[in-house]
Amino acid sequence: MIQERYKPTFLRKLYPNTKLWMSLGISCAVIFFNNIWFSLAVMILSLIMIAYEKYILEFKVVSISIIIMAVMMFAINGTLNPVNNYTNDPVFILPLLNWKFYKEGLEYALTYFGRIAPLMCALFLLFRTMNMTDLGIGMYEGGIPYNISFMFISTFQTIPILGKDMNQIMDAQRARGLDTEGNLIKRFKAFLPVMVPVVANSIMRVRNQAVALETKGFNSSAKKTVYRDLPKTKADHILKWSSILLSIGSIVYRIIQSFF
Amino acid sequence: MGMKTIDSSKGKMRNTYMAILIPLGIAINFVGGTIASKLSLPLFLDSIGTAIVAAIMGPFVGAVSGVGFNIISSIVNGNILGSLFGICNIATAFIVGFMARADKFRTIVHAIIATVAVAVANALLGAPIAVVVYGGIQGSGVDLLVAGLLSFGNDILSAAFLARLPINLADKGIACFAAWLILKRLPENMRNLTGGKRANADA
Amino acid sequence: MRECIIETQDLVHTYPTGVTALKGVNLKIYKNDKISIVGQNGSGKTTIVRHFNGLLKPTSGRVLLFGEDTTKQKIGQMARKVGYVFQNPNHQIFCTTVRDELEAAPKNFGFSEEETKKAVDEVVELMNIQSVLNTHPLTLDYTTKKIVSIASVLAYKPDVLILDEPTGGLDEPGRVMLTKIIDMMIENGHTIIMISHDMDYVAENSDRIIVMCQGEVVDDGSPEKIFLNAEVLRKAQIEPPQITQLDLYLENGYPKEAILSVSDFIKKYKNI
Repeated sequence: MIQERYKPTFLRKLYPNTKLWMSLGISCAVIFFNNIWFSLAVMILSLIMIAYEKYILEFKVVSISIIIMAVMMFAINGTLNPVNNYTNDPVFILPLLNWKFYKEGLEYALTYFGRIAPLMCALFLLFRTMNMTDLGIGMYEGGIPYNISFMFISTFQTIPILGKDMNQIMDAQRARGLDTEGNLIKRFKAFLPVMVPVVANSIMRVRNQAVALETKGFNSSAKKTVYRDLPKTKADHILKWSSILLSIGSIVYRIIQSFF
Repeated sequence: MGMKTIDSSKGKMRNTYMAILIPLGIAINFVGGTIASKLSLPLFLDSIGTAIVAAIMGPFVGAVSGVGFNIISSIVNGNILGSLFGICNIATAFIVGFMARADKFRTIVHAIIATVAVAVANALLGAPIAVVVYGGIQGSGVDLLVAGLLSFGNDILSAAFLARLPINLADKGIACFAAWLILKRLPENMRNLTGGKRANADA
Repeated sequence: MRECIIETQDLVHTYPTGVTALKGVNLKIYKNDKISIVGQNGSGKTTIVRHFNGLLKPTSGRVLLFGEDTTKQKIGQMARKVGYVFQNPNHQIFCTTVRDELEAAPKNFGFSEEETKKAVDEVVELMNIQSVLNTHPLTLDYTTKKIVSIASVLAYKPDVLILDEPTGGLDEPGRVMLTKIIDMMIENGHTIIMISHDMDYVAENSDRIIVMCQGEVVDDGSPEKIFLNAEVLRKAQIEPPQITQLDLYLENGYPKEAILSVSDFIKKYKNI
C-alpha cells in the first residue's frame, strides 16, 4: 500500500505536502470543471506517469475495478436509468442481447465516471509515491499538532502488524481444525476464532504501549525535533501554488457556471 | 501500595491512549475486512474496529477512528470521494459509544438494540451517499440489484437506496454485534481502559 | 522396519516475497520418532514443519503424510493427525474459559459431547490444570497459558505432535511437565517433532536431531553424534549444550560420544 524507496524519480523527490496540494488541486478541478475532455486528459496523463514510474503491475488491481465500474455504470445506466428518453432512438443496440442504450443514461454514467476514474488514476499515483512517515513529518512541519501526525504515522505501522498477527492466528486455528473453506455457515463460524485473538492481542499491548509512549516523552510540551531531512525545492513551491490556484479557480468556475 | 493506576479517562494519559487506540481502531477495521474476504464472506465487516474503540473510549474517539478509516481506505482504493462514507462510521461510533458510556452495551438485549440502531442508521445514511458519490452504480454486486429495481420503474435514487438497505443492514448490523461478542470474550481488565463507572461491570 | 509417516521429496518452498526457504529437502520421519529440528532463524525449520500439516504446500517437490500427498488432502484432515502447538499461546486463545478452550479442537474434529468431555478430562488430569478450568485463559501467567495451549492440542490425541519452541518462557515446573508429556506420548506410540533453540533441553529430550542451515538439512542423527560434529555445528551456528562443551574441553579433542546431560557428566567423571 505504501511506497518503497526505489531510485528517486521526480514525483518521489517532491515534498510530501506538495503531493497533498496536488491531490487537492486535481480533485477540485476534475469535480468542479466537470468536463469530459479535462477528465480524459487527466486520466491519460496519469496513466502515462504510472507507466513511467513503473507502477503498472500494482495498478492492475485498480484498473480492473475501474473497468468493472465502467461496464456496470454504462450498461445499467445506459439501458435502464429512467432519465433515458425512451421515445427517441437508442444510441446503439447490443447485438445478441438486444439491449438498447440511450443517450441520457450514457451521459449520466459519463458524468459520474468522468469524476471518479481520473481521480482513481491520479491519486493512485500520488499516494503510491508517498512515504507515509514522510507525509506524517510533512504534516507536523506544516503545523498539524504532533498528536495527530503521530496517529497518522502510527496507523500505517499498526496495520501490517495486525495483518501479520492475523495470518499467524488463522494458521494456528486451522492447525486445530478450524474449517475455513467449508460451507457459508462454517466460514461464518470461523470469523470469531480468528478475530478475537487478533483484537485481544492488540489490546493486551495497549497498556504497555501507553507506558512506552509516556516514558519517551509523548506528552511533553517541548517542540519535537524532526530527524528526517525532507528537502523543499522550487518545483514544490510552483506545484503547491498552482494547485491552490487550480482549486480556487475550479470552485469559482463552478459557482459562476451555476448562475447561467 | 500507593501506586497510581493508569487511568486513561483523565488528562494527558487520555491523550496517550487515544493516540494508540485511534490507529488501532482503523487497523482492526482493516483486519476485519481482510478476514472477511479471506473467508470469502459476503460482507465487508470493516466497521468492527470503530465499534470496539467507541465502546472502550467513547463516541467521539470512536468517530475519529471511523472517519480516519474511511479516508485511508478510500485513498488506498483510489476513490477519494469514498471518504464521505465516514458519516456512516460516525453514526456507528455515536450509537455504540453513547450506549457504552451509559453502561448499556453489556447484555445481549443491549447488543441487539445497538445492532438494530446501527444497521438502520447506516442503511439510511449509506444509500444516499452512494448515490451522491457514484450516481447509484458503483461496480459491485449490489448494482445488479439496483438494475433489477430500475427495471421495475423506480428512479435511480430510490433504486440505489432500496438495493443498499439489506446489505448495509446485514453488514453494519453484524459488525456491531460482532464487536459486542469480541468485547465479551476479553477478560474484564481489558475492557475498561477508561476506568470509571464501568469498572464494576459484570464479566 | 519402522513405519515412515512423513516424507519429503526434493521439497522446495519459495514464499510469495521471493525468499526460498527450503532448497530441496529430503526427509523421512518415522513413527515414534522423538525429533528436534535445530538451526538459526531463517534456516527453514518453521517452513518445513508447516508442510507436515498442510499449512504450506510445496512450490516443487512432494510431501507425503501417511503415504498420501499433502496437496491432495484438506488441512482439517491433516491437522487431525498432525497437531501443531504454536510458539505464542496468545495466538490460539479465543474462549472465555480454559474448559471451552480445551473443548474447541475436539469439537472442530467432530468429537461427540461424551467423547469431548472424556478427552478434556483426560488431558486436564494429565497436565494438572483442574484449578484453572473456569478461568479466562488470557488472564493466566505465561507458563500456564503455554500449558493450556499444549493441552488444547493434546486433547484430540493427534498421531504427531509438533511443538514450536515449547520451552520458551517456561519455568522449571513447566519444563518438567513438558518432559512428562513428551515421554508419555512416545510411550503411547505417538511421534514428537520439536523446534527449539534450547540445546540443553534438546540434548536430553530427543532421539534424533535434524540440523538445518539456509534451507537445507546439514546433519541428521542421534544427539550423541550430532554434537560432536563441530564443523557442521559451526556452519549452522549452533552451540552444543554447555555440559557437552565442558566435556569436549576436558577431553582435549573428540570423545567417542557426546555427554548430553549433567547426570551423564557426573557419572563419567565421578570415577576419575
